[in-house]
Amino acid sequence: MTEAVPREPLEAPRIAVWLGSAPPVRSIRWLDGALKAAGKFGGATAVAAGHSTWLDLAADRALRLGLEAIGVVTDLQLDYLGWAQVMAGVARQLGATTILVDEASRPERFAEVAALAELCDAAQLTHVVAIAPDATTIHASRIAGDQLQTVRIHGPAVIGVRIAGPAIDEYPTPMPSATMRRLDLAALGLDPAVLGHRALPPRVSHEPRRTIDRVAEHLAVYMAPRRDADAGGAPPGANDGASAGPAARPGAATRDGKAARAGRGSKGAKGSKGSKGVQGE
Amino acid sequence: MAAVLVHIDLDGARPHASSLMALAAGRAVASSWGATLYAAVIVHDPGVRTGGDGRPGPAVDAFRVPGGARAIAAVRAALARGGADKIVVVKTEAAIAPLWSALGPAWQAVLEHLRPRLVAFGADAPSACELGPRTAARIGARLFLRARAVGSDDVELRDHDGSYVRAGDSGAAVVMVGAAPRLAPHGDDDIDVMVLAPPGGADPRIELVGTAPAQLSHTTGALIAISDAAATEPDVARATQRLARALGAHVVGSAHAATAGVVAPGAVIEPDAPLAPSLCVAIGAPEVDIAGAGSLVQIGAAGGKGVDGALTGPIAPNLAELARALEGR
Repeated sequence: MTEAVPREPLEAPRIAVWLGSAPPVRSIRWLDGALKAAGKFGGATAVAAGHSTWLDLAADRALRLGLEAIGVVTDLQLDYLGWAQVMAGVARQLGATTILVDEASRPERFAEVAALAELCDAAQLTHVVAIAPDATTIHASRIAGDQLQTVRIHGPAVIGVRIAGPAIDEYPTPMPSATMRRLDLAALGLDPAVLGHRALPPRVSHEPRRTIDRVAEHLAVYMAPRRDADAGGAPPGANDGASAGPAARPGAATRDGKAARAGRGSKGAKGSKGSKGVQGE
Repeated sequence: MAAVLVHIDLDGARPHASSLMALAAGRAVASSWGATLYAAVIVHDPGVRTGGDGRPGPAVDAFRVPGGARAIAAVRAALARGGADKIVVVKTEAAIAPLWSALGPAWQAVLEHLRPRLVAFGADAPSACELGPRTAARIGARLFLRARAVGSDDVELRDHDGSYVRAGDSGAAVVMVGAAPRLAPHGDDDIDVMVLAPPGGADPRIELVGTAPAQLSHTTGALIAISDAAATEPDVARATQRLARALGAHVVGSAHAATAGVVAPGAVIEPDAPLAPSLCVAIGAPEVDIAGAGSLVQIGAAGGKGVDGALTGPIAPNLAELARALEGR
């Protein structure tokens, strides 16, 4: 891209690092890495939300790396946009211009990068594996498929980092933090009842899938799509005519099928539950 | 009529395979819901002009993508065969790069023009991770990661948590599609092409200064990590490579595992090197750090907290069965 960078004088970024609303799934290594990356900027503040046990862990890891910590105490279980509203509220209080997000510790968190950027009217950059401050500019490297992109960031930005700290097998159980600044939603100008519109239903505990069929079904959504032999590229799921086509498979999707069903109401029905259901596979 | 919109990334001058998968899912949903399926592709046009009032300029009939007339025809034909009802071409003066800062302003024009009820991205398409969540945040939509189309009549999109989007739901949804149904190619190549030329280029706050091949240890795709002990068993090694082909995944392991031949020299991972792929299939107890995987499946281990799947028992037969199951999809 060749566009000119903004010409108005920029200030050095004021940094906050969003650690999320729940502890890492398996390892605190990526949490430590995000904190260490934020520590390069000086004066960074670590922010977490959720239950006190998680907040104490987040504060403990932040303080070990010399960062201040803020914890937002709440029992809400929110979606990506709900948690982004919480972090955006903290960023406003801190006057943070750049927010790092630990996007590797939990897979669902990378979506919060975009939501935060949207709420803060900031640029966004996901999948960053290296970062270095340079006065008013931030140099970053990000993964895009099998490519490593080198990027310069000018001005407010939300940056999703997947940077690991040192390998760590065990860590001491954190004590309740005396230095962590605790905030509630009201202090951020957020109404829990309104924020509750972004609530997620409680998830059933995830037991590992233990049969071939169920594991294969899980793996199938991670399969690299195959490029069709046809250079035009029919859908990777498209069959080659050897098996059931629309005529042989009732309900198979066709443009004609759409026309046949066009009389169906397609507007959302009020009160529909949408994603509220939690069902096993 | 409601709009289902699918973002199409280009792979060279052809639609990206993952985008075509999203298109297949979109076709299934649109047919079930009685919606119109739009496939939108953003192309670079340094000469893009806009109207004096700042609104998109007049539509032109050129459908330019890299590669000339034959490539243009191929993209259009591929999207038609993939089931699109209409094609939207968005011209931008920004250089095409898988970044919101590059594509966002052009993509916003599509969203404003169509006001779609459902937006789909191929989960493995290059710009999906940048555009998908930002699209969802911009329109206040629910977001579904690695979802699949389920059902043959009343089709819904369901993610691995069991959350779903159905025809009767209120509000918009954005879906990163991980799997799609098998559909017959559509034969009608003569479909409408709409061209938008919104004003504005790239967001200058993000400046792309270079690209280089990434190391395998940085991958965000799928990996298979094999233990030293498993790598030395020929049956396991063969079954591992078969599963890797079925998944489209690399096999990684220690230097010792590489001596057995199942791990390529460039896929040797140091014991402390951190990995954060979207999926890791661990065979045995690999001597690499896989704790950063978005999803973890263990073969030859009992599994536990944070593990999405676990198969105990003989490793090689389980791997072969898994590969067979995936090859049939």
